[in-house]
Amino acid sequence: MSRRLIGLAATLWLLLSWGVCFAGDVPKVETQAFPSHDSAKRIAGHLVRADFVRRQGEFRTIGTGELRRFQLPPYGSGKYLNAEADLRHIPLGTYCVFFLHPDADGNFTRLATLRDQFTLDAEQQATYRIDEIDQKNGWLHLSKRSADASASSHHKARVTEATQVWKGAQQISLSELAVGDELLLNLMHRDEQSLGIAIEIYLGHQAQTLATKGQQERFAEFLELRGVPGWVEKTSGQEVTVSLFSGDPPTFAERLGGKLKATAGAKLCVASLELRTYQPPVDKEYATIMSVESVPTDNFGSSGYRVTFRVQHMLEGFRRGRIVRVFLSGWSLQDQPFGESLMGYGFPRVPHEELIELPPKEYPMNFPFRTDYGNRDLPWYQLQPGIKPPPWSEHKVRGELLRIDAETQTAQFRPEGSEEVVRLTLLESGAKCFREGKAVDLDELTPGERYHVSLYQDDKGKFTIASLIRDEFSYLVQNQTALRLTGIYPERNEIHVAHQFPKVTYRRADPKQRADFGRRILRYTDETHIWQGDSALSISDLAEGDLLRVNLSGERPHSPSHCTAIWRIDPEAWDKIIIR
Amino acid sequence: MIRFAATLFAFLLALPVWAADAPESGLKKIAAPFFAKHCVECHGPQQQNGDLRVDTLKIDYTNPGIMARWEEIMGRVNSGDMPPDDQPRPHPESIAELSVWITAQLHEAEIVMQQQRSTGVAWRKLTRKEYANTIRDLLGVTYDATDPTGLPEDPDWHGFERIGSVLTLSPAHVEKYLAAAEGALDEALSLGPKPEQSVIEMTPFNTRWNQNLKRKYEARGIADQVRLDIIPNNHKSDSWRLKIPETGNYRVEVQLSGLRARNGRAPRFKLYLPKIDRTIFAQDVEAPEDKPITLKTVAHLPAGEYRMRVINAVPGPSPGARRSRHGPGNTAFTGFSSRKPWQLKLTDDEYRPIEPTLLIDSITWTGPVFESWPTPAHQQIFFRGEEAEPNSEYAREILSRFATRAWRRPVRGSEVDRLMGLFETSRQLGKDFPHAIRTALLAVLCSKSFLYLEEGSTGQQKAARLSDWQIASRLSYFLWSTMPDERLFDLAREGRLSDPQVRRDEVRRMLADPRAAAFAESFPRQWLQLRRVGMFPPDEELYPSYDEYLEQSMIAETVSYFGEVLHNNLSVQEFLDSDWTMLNERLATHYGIEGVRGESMRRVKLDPTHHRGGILTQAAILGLTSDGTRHRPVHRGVWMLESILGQPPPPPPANVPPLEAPSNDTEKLTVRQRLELHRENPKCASCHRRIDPLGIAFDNYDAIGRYRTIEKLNIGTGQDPTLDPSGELIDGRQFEDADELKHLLTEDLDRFAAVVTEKLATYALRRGMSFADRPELRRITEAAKADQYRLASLVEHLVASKLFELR
Repeated sequence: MSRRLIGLAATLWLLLSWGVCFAGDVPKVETQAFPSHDSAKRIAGHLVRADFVRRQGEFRTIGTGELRRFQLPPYGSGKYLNAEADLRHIPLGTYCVFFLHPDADGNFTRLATLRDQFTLDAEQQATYRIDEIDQKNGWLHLSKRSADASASSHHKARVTEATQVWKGAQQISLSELAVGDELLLNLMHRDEQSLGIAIEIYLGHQAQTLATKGQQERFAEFLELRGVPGWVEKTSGQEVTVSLFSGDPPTFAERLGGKLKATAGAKLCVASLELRTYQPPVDKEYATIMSVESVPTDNFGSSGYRVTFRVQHMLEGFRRGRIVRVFLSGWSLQDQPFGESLMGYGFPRVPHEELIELPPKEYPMNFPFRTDYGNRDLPWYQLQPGIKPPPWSEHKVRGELLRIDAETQTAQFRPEGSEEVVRLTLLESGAKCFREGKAVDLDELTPGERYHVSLYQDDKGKFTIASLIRDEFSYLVQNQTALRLTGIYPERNEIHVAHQFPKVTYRRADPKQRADFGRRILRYTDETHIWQGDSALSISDLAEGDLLRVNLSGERPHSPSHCTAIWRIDPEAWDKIIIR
Repeated sequence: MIRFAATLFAFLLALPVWAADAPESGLKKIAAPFFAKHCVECHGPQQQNGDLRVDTLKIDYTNPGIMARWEEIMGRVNSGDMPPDDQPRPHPESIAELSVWITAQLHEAEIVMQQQRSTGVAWRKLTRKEYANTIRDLLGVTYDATDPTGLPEDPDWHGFERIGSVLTLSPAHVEKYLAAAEGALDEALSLGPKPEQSVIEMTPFNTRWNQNLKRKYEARGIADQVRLDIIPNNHKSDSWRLKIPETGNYRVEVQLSGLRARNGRAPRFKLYLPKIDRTIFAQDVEAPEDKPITLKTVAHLPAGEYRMRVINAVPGPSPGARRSRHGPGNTAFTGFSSRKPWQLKLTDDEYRPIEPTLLIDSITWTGPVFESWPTPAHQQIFFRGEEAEPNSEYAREILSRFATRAWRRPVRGSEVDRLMGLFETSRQLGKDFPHAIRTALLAVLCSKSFLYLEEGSTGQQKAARLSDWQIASRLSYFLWSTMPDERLFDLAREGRLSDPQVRRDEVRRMLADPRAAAFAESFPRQWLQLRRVGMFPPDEELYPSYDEYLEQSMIAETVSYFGEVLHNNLSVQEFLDSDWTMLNERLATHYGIEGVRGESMRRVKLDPTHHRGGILTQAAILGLTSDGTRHRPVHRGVWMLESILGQPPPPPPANVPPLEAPSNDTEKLTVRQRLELHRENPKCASCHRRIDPLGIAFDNYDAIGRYRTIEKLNIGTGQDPTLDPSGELIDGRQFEDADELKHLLTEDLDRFAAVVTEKLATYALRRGMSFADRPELRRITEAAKADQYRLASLVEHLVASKLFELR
């Protein structure tokens, strides 16, 4: 069989294996084979955006600088410091290798796992030895050695003031590094010439082991709050058989194997494909483990445990192909962090249009047309004269407004990831444009900036009719989101921000700042305007903890998106907003 | 011993036992020897402790004081209070003999005293069911007598709910009758413009969901796909507001699908209005998801606001509100795959139903609906039409005609004068002609001649013959539970109902009429005391399969079984044993009998492996004699004595210790074994020897009538014990199980037929049967024997008898 044929077969297999069932069906994984380790396409890059709740993000590839989106499938998870990790555990900008499978459109966006440099080396039992320290230019010259010392290669990595160095359980200063030290490291800004910047250095076996254990603990805590995910393989009577997910089967077995025994108690909660539960303390279904079966782990996602539970009540979500989370014996069930639950009985509503329980995503059968979230087999909603289109019938895209023709009320628009330029017209009735949080006319929008656009097909089937055009600032305002500054990197013209809601109160508790729900890297340039009210600021006026909103330029190949403007939010005004 | 038992049995099973002989005979044979041996020393010529002298104590049915003395004697002897501890104990059998005899005398006295209360005329109040039926036939209006706002429940006497002396009239009744009459006339008479007809359509969007969601689904173009999914055992979770604007008849239409669980039950749709305790629909529904059906009925509803409960009345998992509810949500049900993942699972992984589920599209209430306007009743009352001259002569004619029908007899001139007085007064107060007539009609409906059946006439002897009009009513209320029809009135007018052959012909005509369903339903319910079914609801944990539908099916079996015997004129022997019964799917499943599908009761052939046949092994009978947790052999025995053998046992003595409660530390024992321990107490033994075997024979049937051979016990050590239904009757005849007992009973068919005759006579004549009635009852039974005791023939013999003509 030729290589081409093998490739075609593999693609076909992947499409069949990884397609998510949509049209007229419940959201479930169509088939349930964990993909083998050698089936993924590996692409190296830096993590630039992470959406913790929806388990998706973006990375920028090494070399081409291309921005790629990814989505973790239910069984997908990261590895960081050689331990299983959620996206929130991996620092922004970290160099990783992304293990990708194609989505239903054939694009490699389904991320089976991502691994940092530390993990990649640790898995190969490789280490680095410091051959030379170039203090003047901030370079470490390293030789990489494999476990059996059979292979060696030479590398160089920069160190900066931000570089953290660990020896044993202590953080030490850069000056304490010495030639001959054995280390593992994590990187940022890796390029084809060098390893880039070493942001974390772990000297010696003890520091490396402690780093791994620390991440294992963090992940264990994360898991205990949210439950072990798994997919339902079969149901029979009152019994549900679940294959549990893990990105680190040996640690899973070591930590949780003891609880996975016949007759042990557990609680099952139904979950979405994004592993989001509804409200575990209320939804939990009491279960008893009836049997535990060992299954192979030479693939992505399998923990090695297939467990049959007997439940008190069979629920709709206990259905072959759907996802559950399992709370093991002794784990207390708690309300999930704000924004993560699909439903919070008694909670305030999550003020974000993408983080609520989205009917077209969770109940696609309730839509007789294709949406951004499902029903791929159905046609898109077709506009009808004089009839307002229903919610979620639009196709949301981001892209750059290139030119606006006030006379014809049209605009030239280039969707992100495409070179095609389309001519947008506004929906006849009810179309809205927003800039800087205010409703404006089309010609008041600014060409050259990136916009969130809701589109409908024209009579030729092209997405050219816009019902909503918003700049990034407006999108953030309308979703009650602020970007909290977590780091400024002037040498790279970058700021790191975390996505946060205003304080939340429920059940008569004092308003409290809840956990961030995402993180991303933003670039700025000398042309970026920085404002607080009407006052112009410079980048040096900003400090960690500042709350920001931004507008962005369009993302183009070799020309990454950057902030066209940054606004610092008045903290007192922000504090007055309480989500109730 | 055997000889003694045989003697006692002869005494017990005589026809009917308590009145076989005149009281003097028993006094001499039973009471006097007992008193002489055990009582006279302290309550005789020498001493009269407690002011009681027994050697001269006589039976006087008409003297409550004397009969109370006898009751006290029975209580003291039964409980062991007397004779005192320092005296020799009477033999248990002699205590039983005395108790049975005194019980019979007390029963006789009760009947005699019931009859004595009335003077020349016996006034027998209509039951609330009869009242409603009479209003229906007189005015064409439905009166919901059993609504909470209707009439109070009628008290019963040994199961019979129509005994004249027991049905009393309280001030509350008077108010209710007035309100009922006003409501009925308002509906029956077309005195104003025709009420506007309302159409109330209840859809998924104006019940469970809301208009906002409706707009979303309309925009998507799939609003018509949204339905209400009703899970099993949903209790009160699907309850919505219903506003009925006008009192009247409403057409109710429900479009729905019903999906049977795979290899299981069909869902059961119940539409219930708790405020008036009214079930509008209760039926199994089987219709594919894509082929809904429409159920239709007409319901009479008082104006007002209600909660309308939509119930899937089948047992199911009890998931609690969290799993059942839909919540406001932003999605609705459009198919099983649209259910929320945290809800109870209704379908398997291929979306085939695993629970019986209802899918409801709409519930539509249209009304009030009228047959015509003006109503037929209005046209009948204002018989000259709208153009008639509204004068006094016309008014008199209207009132005279109406009162004759309502009072079921010719109306006297003085009575019409009084009604005309009301009419004239109303006119003087400014009411128009129809409203003044209405006032007088109200008086007709509130008069005792309407509310009561009048039997006899002033100055007549106690047992005087009824008039033809009174016979017409007796016959009509006996077989139809409502007023006579025109033919009966005509026969009465012509004086022909005195002729037994005419009455026989009428029985045949009336039994063939649909209104005879009232007799076929009401008589077995009262005779067999079916109102006790479900009085102690079976424990949900012990009997999870028991539900309202099963209970209704159990009663329906017994009632329709009686109907089958009646309509086919079968022998009353069929009540004791048969190779068939009446079943629907629900009950057949309960009995483990295959091949019966659907809700309607139909005749099903039985074989011996089914362990059924006759009424004694029907679930309703076995259930009514059980409590919520276990079968009760003693209750079953008492019921047998009362309903089948016609010998109510004496009441239990005071302070009888209950059966010892089972314990986790002791060996598991059947109820029978525990009863045997109980019977070691001599105070209990005498009566239980009579009662228990008749109940123990049915030990193979649990508290909800399921056949078994092992008694399952949750408490105690060791294996669950095997049941032993064998026993020995008081006359020494032995049986191995219920089948053999039924066989022994059929050997005494004459005796059983006599009991059925007496029960029929009690129902028809609305009074207990006394010593004086025995000869005539005996003649009826003997005449029926020639017809092999066929039930319809027995009814004919009763109606044609002299007894039926007497007060």
